Formats: sequence, C-alpha cells, structure tokens
Amino acid sequence: MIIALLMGCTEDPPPFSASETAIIQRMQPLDEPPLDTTNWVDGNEEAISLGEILFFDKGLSKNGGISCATCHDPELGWSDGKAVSEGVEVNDRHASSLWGVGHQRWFLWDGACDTLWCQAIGPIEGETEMANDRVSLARYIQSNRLMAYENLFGPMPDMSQWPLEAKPTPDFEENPLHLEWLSMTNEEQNAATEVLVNIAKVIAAFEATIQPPLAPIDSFLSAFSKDQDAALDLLNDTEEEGLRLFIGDGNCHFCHFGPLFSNSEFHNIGLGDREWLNDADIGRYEGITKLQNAPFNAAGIWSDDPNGERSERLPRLTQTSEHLGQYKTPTLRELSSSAPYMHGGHFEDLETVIKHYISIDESPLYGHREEMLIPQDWTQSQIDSMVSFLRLLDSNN
Amino acid sequence: MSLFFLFFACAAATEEKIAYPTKMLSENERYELSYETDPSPIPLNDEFILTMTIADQINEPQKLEGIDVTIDAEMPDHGHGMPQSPVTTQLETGTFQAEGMFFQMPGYWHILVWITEENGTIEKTIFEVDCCQ
Repeated sequence: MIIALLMGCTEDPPPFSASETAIIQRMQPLDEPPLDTTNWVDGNEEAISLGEILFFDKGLSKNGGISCATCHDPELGWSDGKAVSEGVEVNDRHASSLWGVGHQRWFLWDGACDTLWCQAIGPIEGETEMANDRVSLARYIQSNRLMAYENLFGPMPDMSQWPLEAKPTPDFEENPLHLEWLSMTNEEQNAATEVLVNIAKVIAAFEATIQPPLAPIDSFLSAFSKDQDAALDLLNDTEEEGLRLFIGDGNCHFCHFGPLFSNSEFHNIGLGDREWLNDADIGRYEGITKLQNAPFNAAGIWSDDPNGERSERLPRLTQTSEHLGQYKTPTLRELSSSAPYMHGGHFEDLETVIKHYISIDESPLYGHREEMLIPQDWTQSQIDSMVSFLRLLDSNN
Repeated sequence: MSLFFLFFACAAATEEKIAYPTKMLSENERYELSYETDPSPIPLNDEFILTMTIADQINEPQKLEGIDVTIDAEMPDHGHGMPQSPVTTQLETGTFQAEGMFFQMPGYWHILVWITEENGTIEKTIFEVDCCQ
C-alpha cells in the first residue's frame, strides 16, 4: 500500500493543483480588444485621433469647462480621484476607470449601455455632467472640428433652420430645450442626433485604445505557462501568499478572472450606504430597464450592427430581485492611481477594500449579498499579502 | 498519520475537475434526462446552448407529447442564478433546447429542469455541474 502510494507520488508535486493552474492560466493573454461592430469607426485611425482630441475638449460641455477627461483623467487612472464624479454638478457614482474599457460588454456601473458609444453619449447631454444639447454640439463641431468631422462622416447638415439649442428631455416636457426640440422636423432631429452619435463613436474609438500596460503579473504569467517553479521565483513570499489567497480562500477569482480580472457582470457585494450617495440607487435592476429602453443600445437604429452579437443578449435580460444592488465587476489592473474604490467610492485604499471583503459587516441597501462572501479570519500579514499581489497587476509597481 | 499526509499531498497535486453525470432520472424517476451543450465543454462567461433529451420511464410515452419544459441554472452556494433568462423551445417530441444559458462564474452550478405535464404535475430534475476548466 505504502509502495503503491509512493510510486504514484515519486516526483515533487507541482506548486499548484490542476484547478489552481486553470485559474492562473485564465489570467492571460492581455490581447487587444475586439472591434465593436456596432461602431463602424472603431479601429479607424482617423476616428481615434479625432476621438482623442474630443475626449479632452471642454468645448463639448455647455459651460465650456468640462471634458470627458475631467472625470476620466489619465493621470488618475482614467478616473478622477473623487468618491463620486463631478461635472457641472455632483453625480451619484464614482467615475469608472477606463483601463481596458474596450473589452467590456456592459458599460456604466449598472450596465445601462451595451456599447461604448452609448456610454459616451450620456455625459454629453447629462444635466449633472456636461449638460450640453445635441444642437449646440453640432454647432460647436461645425465651428471647430468641421474638417476632421466631414472627412469621416461627410457634410455636416444644414443647420440654418434649427433653433440655437435643443435636445429631447421626455421626462421633463416643459424644458425649453425640449420644446425647441419639438419645433424641429423629424429630419432635423435625426440629423442632430446623428452628429451626437458620430461624436460619441469617435470618442469610443479612442477610449477602446486605452489598454492596460503590461504589469509584473504578466511576466509571471508568461513564465507560468512554461515552468511553474521558475514563475514562482519571480514572486517574493508575500506576493506568492497573496496569489494563493486570491485563487483560494479569498474567493476573489470567482468574479475577478481573465486577463482583466473581471467577468464584466454584476454582483451585490454587500456595500452599505454612504452619506454622499443617492440611497435610491438600486444598481443593475434599473440598469436593465435603462438599457432596454436606450435609444442608443446595440439593437437600436443608431447601431451599425443591430442584429449582431452584442444585441443578442438584450432580449434575454429579465429583471429579477437578484439584480437589486448589483454593480459591475471592475478590472483589477492599474488600481494604484484610481482610488477611491467601488461604485460609490466607498473605500480610500486597497487595504480597506480587502478588510471589507473579510469582515463583510455592512448591510446592503438593496437586494442580498453574494452568499459566497463570508467573514474570513485573516491576519494583517495576509491582508498585506493580498495588497502585494494586487500591486503585481499594476505597471507602476 | 504519515500515510494520510502522503495521500493528501498527492491528491492536492493531482486535483481534477469533478465530472458529474449528464444523464439522470428525474426526482420521482418518471423520466430519464440527458443533456449536451454547444459548445462543449460549457464555456465560462459566454453564452451556450443546452439540448435536453427526455425519455419516458413510466411506460406512458404518449405523455412526452404534451409536456412543457423549462430550463434554468443557479449557483446554490452563492445564492444566485445566471445574469439572464434562457428561452426553452421544443425541437421535437422529447427534445428541448435552451438558448441563452450563461455561467458568469466558475464553480459549482445546478442546471434545473422542470417538466410540466398536461395535468399540471411538475417533475423537477437537478443536474450538478462543475464549471469550467
């Protein structure tokens, strides 16, 4: 019996089990994102260049003081360093980092958009964000970016008969901008909307290029595929312990897997209220309604591939109580510069994030918490190890 | 004692995914169910199609003509299901297809099948699944 056991185990066991190996191998490769077929200018160099200019252009906002980069600052991990973002007014949620955004299938914390260009439209006209309107935007583009725009999309529409400013706000019918919108013909409305959509599509084409740089974890993963022992030599003891916690007792890998360390889906992780948050925010539950009613979703008339893969999941989304209080799993790459964390900027640093997961002592405002999240009796050393592992995912490490 | 540790060390190093059966009897043994997926094995975090074949076990094969089938899935240890609702349609008598299945997390899943007979009797079946390596 002993001999049989020994014969079955004559070599040193590999450092990781088969299931652990599978989890680790799933963390690579960090490829370029697939082209978005709903956006015909995605991947177009000219569109990317114009999109980059417009991303930083404060002229897209009503007051001329806000750009996309105001809340998605590359120096701050394409976020803004604030708990909740601030456009012309304070918003309800933290500005998501844009690292790897081209890989996502849902956009915004509640997935209210299924295309990146849909997401880019919202802030331009959002009352608390850039607060612009699509007619003013078209006039701005005509005055400032005409050649680049027309090179891509053809002649700008004739705006001579349009009001100076107008946009649809069906939830606020007495809005003067909405009344001006109703004064326009359908053709004029469509022409103004088309400019807005085109601007959003070039911005999205740029945003899709915001690819996380290679980080120390990628060197480890590259070595891991050839020799697990040699790969472990690249990690110090603390980092190795953090990795083992990440794929083991921490249960982190259930949601944070793949090259971006995110499944791009939605979970309720039991976050409680904060005084700066809107306590009516129910997360993914409302996001599904918004997405299905969104005029700019993947299946809509402004999509360049309304019957494509992106639109297929739309009819399968049905609201259930499970969606209450769920928010999208963020990437864990490049975390060092995008604090604070979570959809409401709940935690100021990574150590506090980890302490949330091991204590699980908050009561979620809505819905019920993912039940695999249970309190863990971790030491400070283990918490430090997990932070060390997360830093491996950061190119600044 | 040392034997135990020796065995444990080897077992940990060679741990493999659990292969649960894809054919089984319903809870009251009235039907035999088997399934296949496309693609196979089940992909992680992507849609797949599940085809369920149902055979009579009660010598009343005519009952297969009138059954209605609903297919869903859940993670019992996590307290939630899939992020979307699959649609089940009948391909032919006794064969049903669920489109839009989606396992957004690895781990232990249940595929749930409800067979509703014409008289309203519901027969449930639970397949265990270890997703996904």
